[in-house]
Amino acid sequence: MSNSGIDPITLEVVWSRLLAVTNEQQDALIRTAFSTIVRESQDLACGLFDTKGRMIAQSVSGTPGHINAMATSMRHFLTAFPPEKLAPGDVLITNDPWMTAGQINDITITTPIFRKGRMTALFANTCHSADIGGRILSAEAREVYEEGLRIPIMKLFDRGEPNTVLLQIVRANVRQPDEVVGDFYAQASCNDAGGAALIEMMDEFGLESIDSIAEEIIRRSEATVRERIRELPDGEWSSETSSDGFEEPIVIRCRVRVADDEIFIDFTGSSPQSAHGINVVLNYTHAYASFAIKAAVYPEVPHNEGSFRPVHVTAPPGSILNALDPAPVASRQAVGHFVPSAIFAALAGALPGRLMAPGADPIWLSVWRGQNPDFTFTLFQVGGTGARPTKDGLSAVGFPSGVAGVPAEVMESLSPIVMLRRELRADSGGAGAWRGGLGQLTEFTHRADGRWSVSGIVDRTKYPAPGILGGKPGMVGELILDTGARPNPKAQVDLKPRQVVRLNTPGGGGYGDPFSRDLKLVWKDVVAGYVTREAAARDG
Amino acid sequence: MANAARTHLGERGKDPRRMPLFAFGGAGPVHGYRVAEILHLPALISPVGAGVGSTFGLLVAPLAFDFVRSAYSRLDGLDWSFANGLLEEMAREGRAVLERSGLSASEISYRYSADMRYVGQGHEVSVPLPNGRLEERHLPQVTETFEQIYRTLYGRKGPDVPLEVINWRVVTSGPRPETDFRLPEDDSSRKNAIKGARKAYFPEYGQYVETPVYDRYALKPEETFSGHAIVEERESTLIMGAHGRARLDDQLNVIVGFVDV
Repeated sequence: MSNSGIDPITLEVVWSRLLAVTNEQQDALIRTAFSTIVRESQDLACGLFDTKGRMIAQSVSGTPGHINAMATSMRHFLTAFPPEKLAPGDVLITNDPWMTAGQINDITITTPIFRKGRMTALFANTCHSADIGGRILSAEAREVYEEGLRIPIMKLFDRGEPNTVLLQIVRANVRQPDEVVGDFYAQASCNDAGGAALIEMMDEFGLESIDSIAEEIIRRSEATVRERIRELPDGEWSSETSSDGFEEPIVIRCRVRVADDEIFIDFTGSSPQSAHGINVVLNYTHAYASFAIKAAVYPEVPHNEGSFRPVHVTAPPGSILNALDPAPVASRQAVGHFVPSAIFAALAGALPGRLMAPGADPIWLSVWRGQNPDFTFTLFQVGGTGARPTKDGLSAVGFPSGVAGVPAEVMESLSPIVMLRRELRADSGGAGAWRGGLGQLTEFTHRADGRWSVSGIVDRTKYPAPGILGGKPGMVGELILDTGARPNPKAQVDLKPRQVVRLNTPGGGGYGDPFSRDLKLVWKDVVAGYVTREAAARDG
Repeated sequence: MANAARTHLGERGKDPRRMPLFAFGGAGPVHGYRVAEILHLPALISPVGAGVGSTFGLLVAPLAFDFVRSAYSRLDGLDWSFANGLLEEMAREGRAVLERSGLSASEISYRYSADMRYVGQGHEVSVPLPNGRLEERHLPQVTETFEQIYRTLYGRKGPDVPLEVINWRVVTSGPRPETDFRLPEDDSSRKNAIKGARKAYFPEYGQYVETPVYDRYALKPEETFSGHAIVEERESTLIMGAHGRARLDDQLNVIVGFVDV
């Protein structure tokens, strides 16, 4: 028997069931969503919280930036609406970047679940909205006010009735009202699905409350994480990572200190916050830092309130990783996604043979906009991951974000854009005993005669993913027009009819000395076209 | 197993409480009782010869052909004669194949449905359509059926957005073949269905308990028995827990219901 009086087998069963409940919630979300951002790229997170607002379970996929930031947001929701102010049928919403996922496009929707007249739990999810008004999503804004409509914590549904005033204001402010409002409904529906599954579980197991189980889940997770951290050597390590930035490069200085069963991650010395929208709120920095530690130190422990506790993340207020309101933050992932690599680089010496080389890091996001015909399409692309200590890196796979690329067919059926080319980018993976994952070569044009534009939020176009332990860097990414021009990769670019745009995603860094690579593997890469003959001759 | 079934049911939007569990494969009847109990299914059906279910299926299924045509249209701007044309064409094709297989026109039945969603969504909901020619006046009925199914699946109606149709479907099928499977006639050596007892572990008792072992081939239609039991047959073994109540139908299926506790 454990402290909470629940026998360990029941606890295990209920715990797995709670995870299954959040997966059901996520399935309902994907099936009812309108935007391809949610239903194809799965830029989302779903989770279950106890009545104190502590996260107990999260769904299997989803992105770390959403899930861990959403976990923090619940405190703000419950401060604004304590349980006594909530009734069955209420649904809450906000997109405040400083309270949730650090970007005004990310909408968090929370539903309190009632059973026998008492609030029993909360379900929440965060999804990247197809549009939120303001400038088209880019890094060009100077203040968050330009980036779109900020929705303070308020009711989206009040005892089941939609907040029509809010919906009218949203519809009047966004470029794709049906998609945006449709996703709000999907986000509310999936919380209902989660709630129904939870209540059924409570009936099945005869549970009056899940609070004591939550307590136990949190306690066990925290204990296991502390145990794993205690296995690490104590010490302090640091790293320095450079990214493209907007006009000037951004430097991330990361110091990781392991002290007994706790980890302290500090970003003092990193660049100050930028005048452009690549700033990261601390919530998001924290989300990716704790994800990096989970991936490196305790991958098997489910993420919840307990597993967050032993990991402390700090960054000076006003710095790039702790930007202050009203800093522009729309493209925060362009910097925030470097956080795991920065932490891995620092820990490489402490965890030999366990960490992969840096990869493409930030997802490549581009927003395509045309007026004739009218369309707005958000495309996600990914480069290669870094090579691993015992395997090559993964090609065209996103890390640290779990967001998936969009199939050409989906993009072409929803916009007049044609994807002319999509292939793995030869030689883009850094050479090494293990080769970095490959990026992709992609080419787009516009079928119609109207004006169109692309707003890229892409990185690693100046600083390649470095190799480690003698591995070579991956290839940098490119945003090139058919004229040969290379516009600012974080700004909106106006395009002429039928112009061709190339987006070539970066490759991952290599691991270990390229000349120690198994020759058979080199030969296989040449035959598969992953590596050209010339590059193979040069690097091993 | 129950979690996988539950997630799958969630994805498919089915309510488990309305579906009995059909145990097939040699291991089906071994695990079925617990899965049905956890999922609150109304019953578990354990057929004769669960381990040779595929062979049975091939022999007893009605002849049927499924047709689908993708034709995207908003429901409010639908070309009704085009839609009717597609449905009739599929029905005609189905009838032709079934007639070539030896069925007469009067034996063939048709089911019509459309895969629909809110404009802009990526996943559809299958909506049954009324039989006969579709007309403008069916619009409210089709919309209402969609919303009702959507609400059942996802808890609430969607936003005020028009509906669209992605696929049109027709299932043409013949009558269920008359089957008459019989187990070997009375075997006098098998008069007593209980062939013995052994100790087996049941979690509801928290320990090993003396458990009756039934000979499946000696069980007769309408026979009933309750409580924990083991039923042995050549292709499988049925395990029933303490809250089970078994009944044999005239096809010798063992149907296990659950006593309320």
